[in-house]
Amino acid sequence: MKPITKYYSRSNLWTLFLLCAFPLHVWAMIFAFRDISWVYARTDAWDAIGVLSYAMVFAFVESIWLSIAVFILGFLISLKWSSELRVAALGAVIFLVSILAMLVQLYITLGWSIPDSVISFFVLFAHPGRTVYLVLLAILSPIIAGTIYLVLGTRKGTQILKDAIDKISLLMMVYLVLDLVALVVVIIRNIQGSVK
Amino acid sequence: MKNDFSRRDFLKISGLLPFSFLAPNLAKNLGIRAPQTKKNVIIIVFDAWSAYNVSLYGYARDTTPTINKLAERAVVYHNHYAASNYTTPGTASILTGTLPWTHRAMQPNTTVSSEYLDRSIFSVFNDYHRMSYSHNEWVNTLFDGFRSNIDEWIPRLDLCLFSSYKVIQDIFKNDRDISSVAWERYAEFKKDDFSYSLFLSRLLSYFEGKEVERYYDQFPRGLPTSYTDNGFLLEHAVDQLVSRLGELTKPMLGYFHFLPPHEPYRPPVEFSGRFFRDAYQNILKPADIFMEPGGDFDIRKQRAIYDEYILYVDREFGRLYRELESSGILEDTWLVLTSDHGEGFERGYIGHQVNAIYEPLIRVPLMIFEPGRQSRLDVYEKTSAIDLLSTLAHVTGKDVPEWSEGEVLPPYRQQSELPERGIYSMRSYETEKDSPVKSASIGFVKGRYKLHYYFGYSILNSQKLIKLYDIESDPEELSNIVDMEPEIARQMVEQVEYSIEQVNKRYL
Repeated sequence: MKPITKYYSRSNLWTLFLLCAFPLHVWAMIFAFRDISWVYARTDAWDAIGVLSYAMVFAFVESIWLSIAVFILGFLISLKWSSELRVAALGAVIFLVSILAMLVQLYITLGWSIPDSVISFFVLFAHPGRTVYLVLLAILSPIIAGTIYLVLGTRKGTQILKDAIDKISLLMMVYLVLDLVALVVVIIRNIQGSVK
Repeated sequence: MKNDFSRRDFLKISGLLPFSFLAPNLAKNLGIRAPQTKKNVIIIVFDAWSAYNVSLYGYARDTTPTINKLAERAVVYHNHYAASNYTTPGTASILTGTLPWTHRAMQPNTTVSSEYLDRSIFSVFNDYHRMSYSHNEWVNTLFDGFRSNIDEWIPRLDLCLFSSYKVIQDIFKNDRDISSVAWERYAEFKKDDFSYSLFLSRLLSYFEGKEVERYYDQFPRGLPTSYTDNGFLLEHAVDQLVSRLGELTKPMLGYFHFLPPHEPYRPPVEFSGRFFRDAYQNILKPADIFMEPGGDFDIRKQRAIYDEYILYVDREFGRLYRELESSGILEDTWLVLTSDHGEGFERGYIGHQVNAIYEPLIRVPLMIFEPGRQSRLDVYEKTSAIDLLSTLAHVTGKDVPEWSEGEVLPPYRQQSELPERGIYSMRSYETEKDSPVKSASIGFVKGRYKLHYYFGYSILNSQKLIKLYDIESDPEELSNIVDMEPEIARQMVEQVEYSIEQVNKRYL
């Protein structure tokens, strides 16, 4: 068994964590900021800040879990690839999966529906639910693999991806500062209690 | 005088002394309880339980076979009114013994005014061990206001199935409210809104769904829930409460507010479908001005499911009663069974989220099981939810607080009748704590008459709407007699308007 350091350097791990945290934080912040007004209307500004702070702390914890999952996934990538390329590939996977997760939420929340003919087709199978997942997997896997191949297969594509990762990592550092502030708010709220 | 008690006798008895230390535990394990001078008080509230749908009160479907039998040892109140047609004001009135316009918890999910935070049944029984529990989040908001007077407030999710909320509330126990709101927005997978989380919400929804799946066979319509938990079983709540009550040695005041039969109506399999194709006929009533006309079939179906859900309440209350009886707790306890408001299936509406104030929405069951009572007593006098606090204070030998607006209920008060008394029930969803009442639905029952007084609604173009019913000859409220009895209507309207004016003076 090869040592972990063969797969990841410390800076690789840090970059991976930042890449995982970025989409989670952006998504959480968009909707947490949207909710501030109604929480403020029902209680007060401190509670509104509280909801936002908890959201940031939860996003931070979810980022750690996602990073661990991605970190484990990274062991499947050949060691023949350079560590930078491996991180770039994993970064691409994170972004594609995140975009898919966003689309799933949009699909459900905005009430988009599958055409009746497609539903009728799946109903013909003994296990329609499982069949849907298998078909989705069959469609999505080549899309993800193909995208990664196209991006990483060209020098320009790889460079664009690496630049994007650098910029996102920098931006994510700002979010991490916000996470720290949020954590302080959560701690204060829990020391103080909810007494008003 | 010769002393027969020798030194030898003293030493013999002293040998038994160590056993005296074991006695209390032994007695507890054997289910033996020392007689108490102070009696316990246990109030059981089933949410949204209308007296209209209870067979004990004459409903055509046999929805309460167990309670009908238990009532043979209770005082049964036939004309008992909740103080509102929904949870927050209705419950606050039970707990404070005051009307909604006095305690001011008129808007949903609010607490009472600061003046009443220390004026509740919990503060009256300050020498008791005071416990509370509710499945209903809005009731917990009220408890939060009263918390300095509650010794043991059982967290809502403790008696629910596993859910991530419980973990969050345990971690952030000093900030349960906001951490739960944030967690709900973060991790709850909803069909009508986005969650803050991209992945966790899906995973949790999957795992929590697995937990609930185990009960599909027992609850074909899904598990009972308040929508902000992962489901619960009334059985669990009853079992855990009985077990906890058995551990207490001090006299105890318990207020336990269970969600069933509040919607979503989720009867267990043994009652599911019981009333679906029976001979029960809905009485057709014209759609009310506040209600969109609905399909009659759906109302029939929902009523049948609600009635089946009451069977679940009936069974579990029966079990609670028997457990309390067999553990010996009942003989030292005033046990009260009631509801915070009713539920309606008529005139185009289902449920209680309406501005109307018809009988099914406000008339609720009330039974008092007093220690040692062996026979049934039926009381037909009109009574109010605000009377409970005064009554329980009175029967346990406490002074009735001067701020309570209720009366001591018959048969416990000295005076036999209170002929001129009017009973109020009201809904004023928009009224804030420090604002005058500018729009409301008020039910005012006096003698055989009931006045409906609606004002301040845009649907009425800010006009008043007044209806009068003779609820003794027309309990279904089918004939508005405001034109036939103008004098009675005028007098009752004057009384209501005078009361509103008095209440509003403080907030103008």
